[in-house]
Amino acid sequence: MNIGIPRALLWSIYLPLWKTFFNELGHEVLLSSPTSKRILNDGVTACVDDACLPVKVMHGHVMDLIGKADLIFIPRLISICPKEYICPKFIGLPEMIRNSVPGGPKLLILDLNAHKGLKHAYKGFYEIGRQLGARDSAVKRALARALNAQGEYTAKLLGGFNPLTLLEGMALQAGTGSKKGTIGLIGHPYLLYDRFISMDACRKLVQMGYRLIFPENIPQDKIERACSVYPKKLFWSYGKHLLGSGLTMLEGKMADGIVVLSSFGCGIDSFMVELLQRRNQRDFRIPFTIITLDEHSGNAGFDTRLEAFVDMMEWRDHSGHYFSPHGEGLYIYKSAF
Amino acid sequence: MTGKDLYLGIDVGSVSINIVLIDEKYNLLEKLYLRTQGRPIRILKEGLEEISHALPKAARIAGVGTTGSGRELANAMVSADVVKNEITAHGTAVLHFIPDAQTILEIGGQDSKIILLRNGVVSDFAMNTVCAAGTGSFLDRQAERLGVPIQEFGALALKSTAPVRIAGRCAVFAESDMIHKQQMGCSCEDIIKGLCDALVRNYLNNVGKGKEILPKIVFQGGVAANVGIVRSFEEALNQPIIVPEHFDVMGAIGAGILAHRETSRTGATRFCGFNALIGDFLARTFECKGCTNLCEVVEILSDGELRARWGGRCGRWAVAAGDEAESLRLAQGAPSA
Repeated sequence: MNIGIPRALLWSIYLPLWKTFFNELGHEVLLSSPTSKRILNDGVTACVDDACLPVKVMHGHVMDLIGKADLIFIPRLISICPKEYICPKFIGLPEMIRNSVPGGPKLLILDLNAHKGLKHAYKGFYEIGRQLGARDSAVKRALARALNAQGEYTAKLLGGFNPLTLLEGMALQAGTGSKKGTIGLIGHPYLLYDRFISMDACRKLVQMGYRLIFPENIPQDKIERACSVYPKKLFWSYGKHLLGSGLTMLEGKMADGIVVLSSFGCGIDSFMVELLQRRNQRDFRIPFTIITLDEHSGNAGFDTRLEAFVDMMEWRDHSGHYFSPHGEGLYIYKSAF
Repeated sequence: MTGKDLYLGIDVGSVSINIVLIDEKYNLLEKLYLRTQGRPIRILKEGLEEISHALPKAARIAGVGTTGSGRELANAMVSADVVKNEITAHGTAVLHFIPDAQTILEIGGQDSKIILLRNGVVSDFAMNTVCAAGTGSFLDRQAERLGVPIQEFGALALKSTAPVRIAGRCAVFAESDMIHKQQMGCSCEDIIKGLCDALVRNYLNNVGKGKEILPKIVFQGGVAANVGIVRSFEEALNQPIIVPEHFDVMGAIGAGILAHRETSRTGATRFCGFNALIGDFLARTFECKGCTNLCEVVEILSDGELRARWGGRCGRWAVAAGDEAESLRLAQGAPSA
């Protein structure tokens, strides 16, 4: 059987797990085409109006696979870590697609729910295994190999690689001659590692001579430690990942500047980015900017912000980097943290 | 006086095109503020013609800088020495005229931005995200609705005795709120003042969110001509607001200053000369069919000859102004639309 995997949402994080699993069960995997204007247009037309851009793009990718794949794989990621959740739009994803995408594509849905413990997380794999006609023993073996492949992939990410290089073979290293500094690029994986949605931010920054560091390069224990200062548990796994990796970059002086990419209307970002920005403002004061992405296809506004940010970094750098963190603003939000 | 070196700064924005002529001490010799009227190429050409007539004898253009959202377009026509984003250009100009400024409030046609300056460099900035509420075009529209010429708008606001509260978050909400207040019988002056307050409140809450606004505060961009907005800023921040003499062309002045710095480094200007601007300029776009992105590619032709081309995501069509003739020919040899 030919199983289609949409190149959207968390594919860039979990592809080795999913692909290995299906391959081990004897199926072929077909990826949708990289995001393009056509995929975006299809997704925006099909999807409900108030979904965020990444969810709309997901719809477009599913439509791209119709007629090419026998089954389209849609993960329903409810919880990837005990006692935590991820965005509700992921939970309702299969239903959204079933109701919005025309032509009634045949879906293969993986329910992944680790909320009550990691043991429960693997149940869904046995269920889709049975749907594909595999015996539980075969699923067990395939899952073990898939987890192994995923582990190797995660190790590479933590070793400093990024999904664009590992999955799409894109060279993302600044020339050896340039020592301009490092920019921490923060955002959800479906923004950062989608060259179309991110307006190719990674390549542009590298061409401007900067090294990049991503949230996926930061180990989980550091993220947990960085987030432990907050009085309540952060129960959104991906929000915590963004905030914690950003804080780790700030505290560890791993980046000379931070660029946050956020999609318009993202609820999690509205909290996490704000917390990160306040912490930077209070304790570190390195160059920091947020760029909001939506359906625009014009690059001008985006490039202006990126260029201005890099100019600012260089200008500040030449002036010796020192900015007094003291001084009372006339008009500034008082932060609780 | 033989061979006096002058510098040209060009700011092509959404609403206006500003051209300035400065000398090497950055004194302003000529300034033009022209409405774009949706025809940037023609207006820019006419403006440059006007400048060339005003050029003193024995003076020569020793450098050209462009900025604004149409900076690439301007560059394609004149072949500039620097093509810079608006943030850097505005920051540069303010630091020249008011070296101890710490905050720049800039409100233009469709953009609004805040730039923080510390120790003589840009240390932080923000631009409006996806909404044009709180920019010049919004005021233009409302002035038209009230039947008040935009030039008198600010003066009327100062006559208000009991300003009404207008919802400023969204241009559509503000408009319906205004209509309602008119129907309640509130005076025009009070409504206009309410609108100025709303715009300032929206600006400070959106663009100025979390930014430390320290004196001296400089207010520039087209909207700074509006004394009503200036007063509302002074009331909201409880600080005097400085509106520089050339508040409407500060971006262009910044571009001119940057051109001087660049040419002192390179030694020669790339400017094509006024004579090269006599011909007919034509901009045309076509949709590239090379992949599913269907990029809109823009070409600038001068008397049928390709000057510059941009717009494709992959860069296959890119031809920059002032490129070597050979690369131009090569690009022209590529399949044309």
